[in-house]
Amino acid sequence: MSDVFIEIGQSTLKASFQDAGMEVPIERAGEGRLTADCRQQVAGSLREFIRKQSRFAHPRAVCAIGARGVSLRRVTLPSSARDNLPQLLALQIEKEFPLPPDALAWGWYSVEPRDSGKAGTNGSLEIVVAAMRREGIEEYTSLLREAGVEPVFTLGALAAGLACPPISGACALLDIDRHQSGFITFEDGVPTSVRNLPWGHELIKQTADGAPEASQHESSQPAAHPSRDAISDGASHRPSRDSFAGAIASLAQSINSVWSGRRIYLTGPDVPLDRLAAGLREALGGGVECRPVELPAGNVRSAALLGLQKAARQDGNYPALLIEARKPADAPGHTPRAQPWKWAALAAGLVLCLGFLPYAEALLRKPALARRIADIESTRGNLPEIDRDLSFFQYLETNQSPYLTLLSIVGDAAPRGARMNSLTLNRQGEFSMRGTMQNPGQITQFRSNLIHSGWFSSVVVEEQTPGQNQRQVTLRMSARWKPGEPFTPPPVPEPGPGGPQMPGGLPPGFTSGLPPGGPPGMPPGMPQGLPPGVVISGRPMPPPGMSPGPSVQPGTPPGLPPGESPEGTPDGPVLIIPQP
Amino acid sequence: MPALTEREKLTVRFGVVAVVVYLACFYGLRGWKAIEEYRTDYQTLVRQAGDLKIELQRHENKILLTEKLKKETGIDPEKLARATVVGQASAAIQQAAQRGGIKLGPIRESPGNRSGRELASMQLDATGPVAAITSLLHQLETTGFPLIVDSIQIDPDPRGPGMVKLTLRIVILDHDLWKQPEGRRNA
Repeated sequence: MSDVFIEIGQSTLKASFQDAGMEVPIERAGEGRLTADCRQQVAGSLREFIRKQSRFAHPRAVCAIGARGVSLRRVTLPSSARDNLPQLLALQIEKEFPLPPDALAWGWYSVEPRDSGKAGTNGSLEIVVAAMRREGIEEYTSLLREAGVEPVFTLGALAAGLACPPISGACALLDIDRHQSGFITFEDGVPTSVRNLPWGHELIKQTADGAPEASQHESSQPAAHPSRDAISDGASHRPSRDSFAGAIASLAQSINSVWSGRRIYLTGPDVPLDRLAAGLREALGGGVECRPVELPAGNVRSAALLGLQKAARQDGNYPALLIEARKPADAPGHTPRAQPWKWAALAAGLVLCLGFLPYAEALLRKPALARRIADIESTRGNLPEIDRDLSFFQYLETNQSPYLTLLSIVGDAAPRGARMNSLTLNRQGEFSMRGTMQNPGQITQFRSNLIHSGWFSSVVVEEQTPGQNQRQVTLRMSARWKPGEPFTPPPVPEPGPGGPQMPGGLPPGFTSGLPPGGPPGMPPGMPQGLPPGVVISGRPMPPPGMSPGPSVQPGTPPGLPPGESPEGTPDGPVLIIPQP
Repeated sequence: MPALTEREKLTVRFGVVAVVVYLACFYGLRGWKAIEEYRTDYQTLVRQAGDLKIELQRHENKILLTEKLKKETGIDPEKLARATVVGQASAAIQQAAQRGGIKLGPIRESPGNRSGRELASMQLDATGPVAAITSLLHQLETTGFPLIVDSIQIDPDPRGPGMVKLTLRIVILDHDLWKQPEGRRNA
């Protein structure tokens, strides 16, 4: 976006925007302030000018102001001041200028580029500061904002220097306006001072017309477009040599009073610069070199505007020195006053936030919570399936009969020398067996042991028959074991060399033929066989309710020694309970 | 556009404030009602989430117990197909018996009692060492099929010392009956 360049002089406002130019006169009241009519007229003209060039543009305005009321200083700061340079500069300004920084509009730039911030030769920073009363800048700012642009300000004479050839050494620039001229001095390209000289090209015109010289300040109605012919070298209005020399002499006197350099650049519109340079060289004397800087023909009729355009074309940025009416809060040591309404607004905001917190929680968390509940609801249909599976497993578990435990208990309860021919268990809780005991006392002992184990009840000896030698008793017994009795595994003995064995292990001398540690699939601690003392022999036992058949095991040798089994018996092999 | 005077600016500011106040009063009430309703819905959801949490905690124990029983029995109810479970269970029993060196006799299958939630029952004879027989009895509980040993009968085997004959009656449960509603299951 292109910028609009404006120069606000003492009596005219010049602007250039997109190769177009305009110039409007300025009417000032006392103390140099613009009159109300002038403000309206200037703002309207400028707004119309910008709208003519671009209807929808809201350009920035780079504004060059005159040297009147502007002071220029060079200050030196230690390089360590770079971190809080604006604050330290404000302190320097308070020291160097008669007004406090709050009352000033001021700008600065480092002699070295600002960004690089190179220190000087002795490790210090060289800063150029320009300051003026802030009312002037504020007035121009409001005027330009009325015109629809947002302005930044720089020094006109400094901007005019940008239109000159590269400046080096000690030199000066005289930017001649209608009634006043800006005079700025440089050392090695750095501005050192700026003056507003009460001398303009209107004075030359007046001397040519024979008007009194002293009326330059009072000629308050300048022409909108002063005619170059009026002050040119035309024959009809050529000023008299004496009056021209007098005007030049007064200018030379003003310059000599503030400057003693050797080269001076002259610029300004509507001025016969060659003739002026020659006359000024002669009037200044001392071999001072006067170089006219001619402005190119076109709509831009100001060296300051030309310099601003040149700077914008070169780096597309604002000039280095920007004068700003800084807020008082920017000043150093400024402590902002307590602003109760701000605290009250903050407190009110906090109270509102406090009241809004429950709603904020709902706003923030409801979507996620709703999604989560929907997910859970979708998986909730699996819960009945889990109930069914659990019911199934519980049914299975409660209907599993602890047959191995029952066998172990029966084995433990059997007295030594007892022999079992058949054993039946079912999950309805029925238990029946058929076997042989050494004497009737063992039957009684066996029955008592079963009852005392807590697993059996209703133990009935259905039949006991003495043997032929009156030493053995054949018996048939039935009982009820208690279904649903919680399974309590028998205590696990210390594992022996052959692996863990249960009390119901095989008797000494008998091997199970299985690897140590138990058969595959059997957990440690489970009975691996019938308990010691239990012998299964004889013929199969009929189902409950049927005749048990012969109650005496035929051919059973009574009183067999421990660990031996009868061989060659008619009913096959018989495990004999070892006698104690 | 002509520049506004201070008085005109003040009038515009008052107008803007009045419009803002009007809009705040008119739409603010609606907005507040809407947001209050939103918050009520959220609180309802929070209560619902709490109920769900309690319900899930109640089921959490059931889930853990089910998982434990699954692991102990090796049964995966989802894989129990009614059409094949009897055959698979029979094969598993025979494999377990063969691994223990048990010689199997005749195996007889018969339909189960529906009132007892049985799918089928099996009767089989097995002959082998005492330890192998007891091992088989234990392995029947971990075959991965819903088997219940209905009855056992242990008799001596005439073929040698230490050999016993085991007669087993095994019931295979019908898991599908648990999938039906309670009323139909017991019907």
